[in-house]
Amino acid sequence: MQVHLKMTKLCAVFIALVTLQACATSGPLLVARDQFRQGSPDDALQTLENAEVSNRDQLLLYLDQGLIAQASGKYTESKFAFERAMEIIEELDYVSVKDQTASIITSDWAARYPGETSEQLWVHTFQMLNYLLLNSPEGAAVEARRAAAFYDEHGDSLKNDIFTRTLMALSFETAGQPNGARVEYRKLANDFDLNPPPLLNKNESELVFVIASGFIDPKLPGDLFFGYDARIAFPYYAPSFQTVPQTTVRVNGKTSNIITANTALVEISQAALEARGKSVAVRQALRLAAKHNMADSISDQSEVAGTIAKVFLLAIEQADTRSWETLPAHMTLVRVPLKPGKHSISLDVSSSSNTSSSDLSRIFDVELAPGQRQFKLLRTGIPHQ
Amino acid sequence: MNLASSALHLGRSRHPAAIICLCTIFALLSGCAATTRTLDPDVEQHYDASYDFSDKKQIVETLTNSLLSSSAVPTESGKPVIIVYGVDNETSEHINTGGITDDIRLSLIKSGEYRFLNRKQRSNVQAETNFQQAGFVPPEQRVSEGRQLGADYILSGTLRSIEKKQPRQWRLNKKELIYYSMNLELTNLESGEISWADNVEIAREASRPIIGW
Repeated sequence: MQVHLKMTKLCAVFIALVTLQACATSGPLLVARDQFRQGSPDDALQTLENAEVSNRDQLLLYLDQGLIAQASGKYTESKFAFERAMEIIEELDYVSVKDQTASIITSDWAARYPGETSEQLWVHTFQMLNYLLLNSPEGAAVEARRAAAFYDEHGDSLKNDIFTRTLMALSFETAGQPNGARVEYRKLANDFDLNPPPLLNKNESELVFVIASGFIDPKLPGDLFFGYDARIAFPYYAPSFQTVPQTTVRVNGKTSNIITANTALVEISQAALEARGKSVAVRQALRLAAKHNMADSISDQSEVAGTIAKVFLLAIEQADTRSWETLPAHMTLVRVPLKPGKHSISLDVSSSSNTSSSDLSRIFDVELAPGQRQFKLLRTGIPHQ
Repeated sequence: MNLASSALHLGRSRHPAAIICLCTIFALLSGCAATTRTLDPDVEQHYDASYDFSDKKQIVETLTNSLLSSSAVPTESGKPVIIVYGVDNETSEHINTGGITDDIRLSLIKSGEYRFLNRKQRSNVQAETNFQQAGFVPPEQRVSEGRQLGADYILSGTLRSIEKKQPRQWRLNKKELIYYSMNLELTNLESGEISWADNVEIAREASRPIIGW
């Protein structure tokens, strides 16, 4: 009778453990992401607006909300969502005893998602865009300074993000802070062996297309088995086969000389994930040891319960594959130098080297004042965009 | 039976664990209660190292007093007319610097030594004047054209910040250092000369624990 009671208690503990750790991104996020991919950003925003998202996925909620709102041209709404995302990142910038304990007993899914360092940087990148598109370059420069401070702290794995770094320089330049722009252009020139571009003078104008194409590859779960009863699960990014989008710009019917800067976001995410590989490995080792210890302790009481415990603990070991999945695969910046005045600009974007079949083909009629720089954001790879 | 009598009952009983439980519940309940209190804006308050209303107050007071006590801008022969061109925000925070210039303008107007042009309302003033001159208003009630004041000086400035976080290392607290520098200047429209300039510096360190619940 006593053994039966003990077994019941142990089972209850395990059920609680399994219930506590839901190894999946919150449902409403998955629904909203799907709606966005299918070309219904308004439905996606509505889903997120009414969503009851787990505390563990709050950051993802605001990241998705910010990006989807931005892609639908709701820049102010997007700005508020990214501000909230930044607050959450700031709140989670410490070692939480609660999260660490939960993740060591179960898996990393049990902890609140703080975002990869690459994702934390891109909140500033997309916020810079919001301010530029809202014609508030001073706000963009604030975000550029925040991104620069972030680079000071986590720069090594993120330095190949040429898109963000060019946008930082452009934000400073557009805000009338040429010193900040020159510093960023000089750093880019050193890292990528480029010639720093001259700053825009009062007799010139510029149109800047920001093209977000496709969707970033998701994190995948990987497994390492050590014998039949020990397993480590880890997230990883598979090599991406998404090609760099090709852009063609014609100004008043003539092919224009453009300057482009492109970042394959998954490459930066891979580097960021690898950079925190050591801390992931330490936590995995601790969890493996803790789980084995628990199972052994239970085995001391009851052999059957110990075996059940091992099976359960093995089953709940899941790689944390949460990530900001509404991100595009590529961010491309296309700078079109123009003379002040009216122009008809045609833009073709193709995701393959075969430029005859384009993903996006648009004509823009613009009028720019001397010294004016205008930004336009486009997203490809989504139906009806 | 109310809570007080329950507590009394438990106090008389010999159950220390129950008493501890009750105390914990009281402590948690009082910690969860929402509170509101009025702060004295004259008392310096900082929750973290970032810019706040106490900083704004310090900046405005220092720069206003500096300008009012300066002899660089003569006010004896007449009140100089100033137009505000704003303060550039070159910090890492989204600070509305319009609040700083609005308060400086208010203090200078109250001093009675300076006059200000309302740049923000210029297009509205123009629209209202055009409306009056269009024939909708009787001639004797129309404002005269060509009688607006011309500015003698431009008031402008820059708010900058330098932030430094402690480098990554084994520690229990994360320290952050922020330095703010606010420069304000008056430029003579006729000569282009900077007739007056001053600055305020604020440096602050904040730390927060790296481990928490």
